[in-house]
Amino acid sequence: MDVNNAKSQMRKGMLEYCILLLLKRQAAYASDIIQQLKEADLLVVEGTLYPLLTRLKKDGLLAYEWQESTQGPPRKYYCLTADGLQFLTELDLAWSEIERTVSVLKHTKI
Amino acid sequence: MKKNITINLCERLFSIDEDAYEMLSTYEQSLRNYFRSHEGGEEIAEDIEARIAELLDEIKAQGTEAININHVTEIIHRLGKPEEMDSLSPDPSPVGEGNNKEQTFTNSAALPFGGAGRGTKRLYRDPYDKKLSGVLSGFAAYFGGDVLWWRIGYVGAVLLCFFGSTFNFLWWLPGHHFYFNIEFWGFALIIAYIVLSILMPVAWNPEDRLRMKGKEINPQNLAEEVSQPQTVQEPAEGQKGCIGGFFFILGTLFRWCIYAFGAFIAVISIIGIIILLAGCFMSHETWETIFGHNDFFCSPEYLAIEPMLKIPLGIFVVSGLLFLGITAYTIIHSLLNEFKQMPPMSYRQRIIMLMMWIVGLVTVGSSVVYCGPKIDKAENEYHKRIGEEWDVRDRKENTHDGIYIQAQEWEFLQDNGWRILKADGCNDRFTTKGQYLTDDSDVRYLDCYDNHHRQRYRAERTDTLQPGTYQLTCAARADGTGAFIYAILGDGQPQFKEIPATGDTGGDIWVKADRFVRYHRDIAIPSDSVAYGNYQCELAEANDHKGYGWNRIIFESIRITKPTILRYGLTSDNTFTRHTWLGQWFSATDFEITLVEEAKIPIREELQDTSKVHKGRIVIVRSGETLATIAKRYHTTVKELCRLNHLKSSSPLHQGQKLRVR
Repeated sequence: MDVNNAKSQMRKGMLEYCILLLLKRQAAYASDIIQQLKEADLLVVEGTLYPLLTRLKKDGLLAYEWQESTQGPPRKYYCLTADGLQFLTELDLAWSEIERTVSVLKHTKI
Repeated sequence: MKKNITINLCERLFSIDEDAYEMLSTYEQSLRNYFRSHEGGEEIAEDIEARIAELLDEIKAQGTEAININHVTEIIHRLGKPEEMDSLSPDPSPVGEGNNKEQTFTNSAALPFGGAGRGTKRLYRDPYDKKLSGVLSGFAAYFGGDVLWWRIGYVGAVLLCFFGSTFNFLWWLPGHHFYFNIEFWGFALIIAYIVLSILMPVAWNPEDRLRMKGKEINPQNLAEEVSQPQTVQEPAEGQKGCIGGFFFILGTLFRWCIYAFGAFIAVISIIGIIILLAGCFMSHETWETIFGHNDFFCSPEYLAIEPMLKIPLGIFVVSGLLFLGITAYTIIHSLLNEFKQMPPMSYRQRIIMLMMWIVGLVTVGSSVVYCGPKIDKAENEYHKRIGEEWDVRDRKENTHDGIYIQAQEWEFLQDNGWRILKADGCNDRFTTKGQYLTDDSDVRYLDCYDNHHRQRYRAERTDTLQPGTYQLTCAARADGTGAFIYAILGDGQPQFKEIPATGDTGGDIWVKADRFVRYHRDIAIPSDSVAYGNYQCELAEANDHKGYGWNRIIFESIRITKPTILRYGLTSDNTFTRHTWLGQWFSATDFEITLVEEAKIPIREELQDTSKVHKGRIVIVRSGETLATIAKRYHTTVKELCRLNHLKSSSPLHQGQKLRVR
């Protein structure tokens, strides 16, 4: 089993959750999201983000508004919707569970 | 140096290298294609485009003047391939209904993406790995296998076809007789190569190269392809192997042959175009000055068919211009392209050119097929008429006393005082040349030929003789009995001497000369008869030492007491000779009348010592003769004649004058 593959599978699962987390803290441009995800080493290729954002928006979990930028044309400014907040809460719970499970599995001596 | 263009991306202007632009736009297109089947795919593509603009902006902000291919490669690398973007979407294992549905979309969308999966591998010529035009490397890329084996296989097959028929070592193949002409297949292979090198597009750009190799067209592969060092193979590099070297030399040779041949065809085509245009725009007079006058085009035969030909000839000219123009243009274009002066024609352009070329060819061909026979027929009729007219004129001009005699023969007969008195069945021929006593092929003599033995021939000459005793000699030959030399003195009866039927070898003149030569072979020839001796040698050597069958005919002792006319000549006329002519041909020449001084005893010719016979010989000067011609005829010199006759070399001679020649 390829480690990289496993890692990418894990990231894949987490990416949506992380995006929602980011946007809960602060509304942001796509480029800002990329920036932060990259810093967190969650993103291999930038293009990945865009289909994801589109899908989340379509599912009503997030919305965007056009914001004038200092240079160039207006850009999409993403923020979390109420549904998104709800969804995130559920994910938070799920994550806590996963964390606990992993932690238990990690530290329990059999 | 690179071409640089300006693009507008999300309302921002960037200057970008052309190759970088190509790559970027390919990438963008692949994104659009990929996400087309996604819900909101258009939006995704636009978002990514906006991101590209942002990144380009960043590069610009760093002070870069123009975006180059490395920048684009980096961006593509950063953003990822479309399916990479997608593969991070939830797992194929269904999480929810919607996800599942989306996944199927994604999979089905993967094929059309980029316009090329493995299934759409295409045939291209590889310009970077070519010996000739890269057809075989294209084949190797398409069908697999090492290009070297393809080359060996191809050249081997061609050689087999050419030499296979030479050595015929394929006799054991079942049905080998079916390969009606194996060389045909050799030519077919070569023609196929040329046709393919015209039809197969060249994989110049990275996309085409990927398609050629059957790789997916995705940004990563593109970037890889672009970053590969691609140079057209230099002669020196990669020619380590013996086989490689052989192919290189063969390829180069063949390529230059093709170039030369192409250039030749192009030049011919251009000349053709010039001639066609000249024919259209030149005045009639100018045309004739350059290409010469042809009476045929003014003849009634041509004028009769001209209205019929006007339209087909117009079509011929137009389609000819089209055909030659395309030929020349294509060749010049290909040659320039070969030397990197011009971009290659697009596939579409090639097809259109080929179609137009074929149309031109077919039209030219059909107009030629239509006009050709008509013109040929008219031309034949014209030549026939002209020939007949010429014949009639010739006959009219060259008929003398009711007998048609060709000009040069008439000239000869006139010069020598001969008249043709009878000419039945003589095939319009009275003299000939080529088998004179010596091998001198320029000497003309009386001659008559007819393979039905029917000719009644009579050529006669007249001389007025003063009292004295004369001797008439000539040389004659025949291949049958019934041909005579005759002489008529005054109103007397004709005397006949039959020509021996010796045919065209031997003859007593040759026999005598041969004996003379044999006799004198080992002893020195007397100095005063060197010329005569040489003459005997020439006679003996004639016709490869076989002689031409000539015999000496002599009328001895022609006694004349008062000035009398002597008529003499050659005949086969049975109404005159009372003998039937039984051969096919006879000839006579060298008629001479000599005055015999000691007239009382007829001089007999002695074969053993011919020089004695001619001693103290006197000849009668005929009209038109000079010291020079007489000296030549009797194998002596002008000086000698002057000495013997007490003359000066400038003294005029008169007809009937007696001249001592020995």
